Amino acid sequence: MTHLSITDLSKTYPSAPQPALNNLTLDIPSGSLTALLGPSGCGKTTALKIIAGLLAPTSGDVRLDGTSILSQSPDRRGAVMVFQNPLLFPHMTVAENIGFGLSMRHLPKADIAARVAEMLTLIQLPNIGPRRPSQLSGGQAQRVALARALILRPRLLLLDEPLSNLDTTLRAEMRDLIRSLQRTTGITTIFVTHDQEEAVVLADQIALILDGRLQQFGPPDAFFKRPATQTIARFFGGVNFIAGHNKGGTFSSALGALLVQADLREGPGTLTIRPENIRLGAAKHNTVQATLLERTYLGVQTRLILCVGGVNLEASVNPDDAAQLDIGAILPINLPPESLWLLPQISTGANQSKAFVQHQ
Amino acid sequence: MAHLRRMAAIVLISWLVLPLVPLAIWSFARGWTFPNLLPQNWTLQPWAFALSPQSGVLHSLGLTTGIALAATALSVLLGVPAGRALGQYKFRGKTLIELIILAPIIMPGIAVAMGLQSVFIGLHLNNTVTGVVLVHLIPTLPYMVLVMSGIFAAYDPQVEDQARSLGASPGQVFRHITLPAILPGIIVGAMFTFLVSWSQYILTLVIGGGRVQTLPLLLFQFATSGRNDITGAIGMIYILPGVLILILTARHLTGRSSAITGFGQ
Repeated sequence: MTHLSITDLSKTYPSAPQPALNNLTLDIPSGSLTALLGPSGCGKTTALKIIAGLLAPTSGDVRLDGTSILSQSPDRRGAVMVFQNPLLFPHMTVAENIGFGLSMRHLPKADIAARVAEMLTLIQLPNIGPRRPSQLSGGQAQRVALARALILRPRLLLLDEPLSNLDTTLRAEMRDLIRSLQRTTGITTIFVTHDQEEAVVLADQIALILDGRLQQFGPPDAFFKRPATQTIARFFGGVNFIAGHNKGGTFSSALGALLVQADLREGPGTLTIRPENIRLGAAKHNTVQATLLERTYLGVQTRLILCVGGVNLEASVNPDDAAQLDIGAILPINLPPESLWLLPQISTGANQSKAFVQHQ
Repeated sequence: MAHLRRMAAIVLISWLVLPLVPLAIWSFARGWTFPNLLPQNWTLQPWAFALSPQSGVLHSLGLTTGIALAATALSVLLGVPAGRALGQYKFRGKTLIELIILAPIIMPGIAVAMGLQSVFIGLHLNNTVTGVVLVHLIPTLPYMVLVMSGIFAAYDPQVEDQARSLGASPGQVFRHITLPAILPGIIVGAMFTFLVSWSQYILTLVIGGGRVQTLPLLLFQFATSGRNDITGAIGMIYILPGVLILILTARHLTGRSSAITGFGQ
């Protein structure tokens, strides 16, 4: 059980004008599974390599259980990194690959063999020990790479995009494997991903990093219910943004006066509601008349584009409820007060979200 | 496929082995005149002379082996890092450097030797074994660098980071990861180097000033003096390392795990 704390970690590469990582501060609880989420090139792999000791930070500190590990060489940190490519050693068998770390520690051969066998069972590939890495499929190689790290019982497991080289079926399988292995071993684990869905499904908490900066850190549902900025809301699929002013639990905007929860910040701001939270029909609060502009059937849901007071809103509704609606019809919809969230008005979002689109 | 393989074997034999047959016969011949298909009398005398101290063959054999080994060791030391740089990194002027490294293979040896002689005289390296070893690097290093840059182009340096992270010290990473990956290349490169140095004539003659009497120089002396029988015996000794190396490394030179891929990328 290892508690990781990262303080003001920055990294500027000599050739780059912008820092790859900018004052990252994170406190990762013992035994948790944390996702570093962000588009490629946002600095998340840089952070992982610094924690692993494969890269020196420009400034900042990394502490395991309160002790700084920056002065320790990578082989002594107990922070084991698994790369995006499995990077199995081609001249060794699968068993030798998995036992590599232990044989570097000069453990007795019999002990290594026993623990390798245990690992092969754990990754559900008990019979591939004598094979060569070139004889494995991509999914198998990835599992072997994971076993090769887990056998060391590291204090910290660092996974760099562990699923990105796998196809969809294998990806789900591997995701479940990582989740269950992490649960059983209780090893504090950090994984890097650019896939928002992957982070949400796997992680106990997500650290969203954009342009080298930490944007928000918290459990997955916070990113949907309480995003800190418009950029973050957009990253997690938020599309409805309504400018206005909040005072005493009432938000005044082009949609009229909307009842909001009392604990939201007062003053000018941007109101947001997720498409799946907009309800068709009238309700006790926040019922508005909307004109239906577009209807797209997506199978499990139907996407509607609605216009209210000159503001376009996107709603995801049950296809059965939307089947009878005509384009151009005026219909009542309601915005449940508990689904409304207020973002700061002056969002750094506009520029950043553009930058993000380019990254993608 | 079987046909092709048999054809290749026949071509190889007629190309490499047949020309050596007369040489081998000569080394056991006493009087072999036209139009006889085989010598009139057989003898071991050319071999006895070749292996006796006064022929100088054994001394030359030792000297040639020593020079070739020294040149090989130096070109491994220089060629492996150079190959790593060329195979793995992109930098300004890389194409130019590749061209300069290959240039000695393209340039005629005599031109290089003549140009270098004055430099070596200035450095007091002419007529010395050290000088000859150094000048042998000119034709040998390109092969070493060529082979190693191909090896390194196919080598992902991230495996070293991976091994470090799994608890290997820098020394262990080299021993267990880097070395096994590049060893086939080093072996092939070293073989090339050894053979090219072994068969070097012009550069040894010019820089060694005739005082560094390697086997090819000695062989040439006997060949020009018309002693076909002794030339035959020395010739047989001379081709020995080539044949041995060919047999030992055939599997490294061809097939799936071929070490020769050129400047990679």
